[in-house]
Order: sequence, then C-alpha cells, then structure tokens
Amino acid sequence: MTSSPLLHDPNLAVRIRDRDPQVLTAVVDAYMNQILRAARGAGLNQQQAEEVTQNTFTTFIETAPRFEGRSHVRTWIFGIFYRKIQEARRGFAKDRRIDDIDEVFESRFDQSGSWSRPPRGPEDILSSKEVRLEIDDCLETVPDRQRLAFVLREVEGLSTKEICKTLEVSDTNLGVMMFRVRNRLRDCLESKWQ
Amino acid sequence: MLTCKEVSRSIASDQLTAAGWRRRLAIKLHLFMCRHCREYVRQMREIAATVKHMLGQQTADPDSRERLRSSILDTIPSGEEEGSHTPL
Repeated sequence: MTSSPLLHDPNLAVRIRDRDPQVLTAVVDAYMNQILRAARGAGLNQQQAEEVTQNTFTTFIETAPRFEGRSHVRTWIFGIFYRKIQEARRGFAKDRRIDDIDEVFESRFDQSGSWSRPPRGPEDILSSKEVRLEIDDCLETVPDRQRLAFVLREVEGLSTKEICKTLEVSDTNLGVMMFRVRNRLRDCLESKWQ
Repeated sequence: MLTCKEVSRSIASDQLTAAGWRRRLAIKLHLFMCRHCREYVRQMREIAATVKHMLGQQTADPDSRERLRSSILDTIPSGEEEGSHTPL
C-alpha cells in the first residue's frame, strides 16, 4: 500500500498517458483500497463496491491517454469514482429531503449562543461495539453526498480542494455539507444514548 | 469573545484553516475554557475515527482485494503491440 517511487516520477503524467503498464499497476496499487473503502463508505454493499472500484480503474486505464497531469492522479481517479457511483446507484445525490439539522443545531443554544443543551454521550465511543452498529444505522440517515463528503474527508483524508473538485461543489458549500453531516451523525448517536 | 455556537459551527464546518490566526487563537482559548465545546469536538473526532475503523475492517479481506486487483490489472494493455518485449 505504500506509495511506489514510480508515482513520484517527474514524468508521471507522460507515463500514464503512454499507459506504461508498470506505472498503471503502481497507480492501482496505490489507490484501489482507498476507492473500495470509499465505495463502502458511500453506502454500497461489498459486491457493488467492488464493481464500482473495478469500473473506476477500467475507465482510468481506458482514459489514461487523456490524463493531462494538471490535477493530481488521485483527484482524477476520485472524479471517475464519483461518476461511477452515480451510475451504479441511480438517484444517488438526487436526494432533496429538507434538511432539518440546522434547526436542531440552533435549538441546542440559548439566546447568548451558549449551550442550553450541551452534548452528552459515553466517555469512550471507539471501544464500544454497540456504538459501531449505531453509527452504521446513523450513516443510513445521512443524504448521499454529505455522506460521501464525510468519507472523503474523514476516512480518505482528501483535502478541501480535492473534495470540492470531486463533488463539484464550492468551498462554502462543502463547509455546509460537513457541518450538517457531522451534526447529523452526532445528534443521531446522542439520541440513541439517551 | 466567541460564543459556543460560533466555535462549534466553525469547527464542524472545517473553517479553522481558512480563519485568520486571531480567530484560531480565540477558538483555542474558548475550547480551553469550555468543557461542553470540548466534548462536542471530542465526539465528532471519535465518530470520524470509528467510521474509518469500521470501513477499514469491512474492506480488509485480502482474498477479495487480490481478486479485485488482478481483474483490474487484466485490463491494462500489455504494451507488447509496441514491440517492447520483442524477443531477440
């Protein structure tokens, strides 16, 4: 999984365009697990996630001659990945449910902006097996794109710039999405703890 | 003086890096003094870490990874048509 020296070749873009098998293999090895994990994180089951991963890289390999190297190869791959998810799950990100999480957040504070209902929860979240099941439940309540943004940020560690490019959203927009998904998850879990 | 609402909103929206040093300092100071905001941040961090852990476990099976890897690598053109592996 460690990044191959091939990926730091100054001629990387050229070698990708030439579809140098060694370089393409290095790219697959560097990012396949990430894409698979992100697909699972987006809510696909194992089989769907493997299909999306396969399709992402097949398209990457097919379109490699068009890789200009202006963006990082990882950003390019995540862009393909996002389109493949949309193909795999029709209606993905078309969700238009009214987002009530903003009001929920507001309701936690008094007029002066201090917590009127402070956050509550167990001391140790990570160690509890039940909490993991609960988080799984809560993830299901999150709109698709927010969920994907969350996974790209918190699990795959993509930069703000990369996520904005992948999901085709503005900085501000991404901030709102992150705010909502984090609060939604926290709030959903908290309601289970009470 | 920043309010709890401002602090938690800034942190949840990832506005820290974009904020100037004054605001970052004010947020740090607030967190130092406010256990409720600290708890809020702690929960968000732990939830993220848990999701990461869970997804890592769900995709850890080496056999299915290897199967997937080889079926992807099968689609790479060998390059032989360009004569790079022509025997002597």
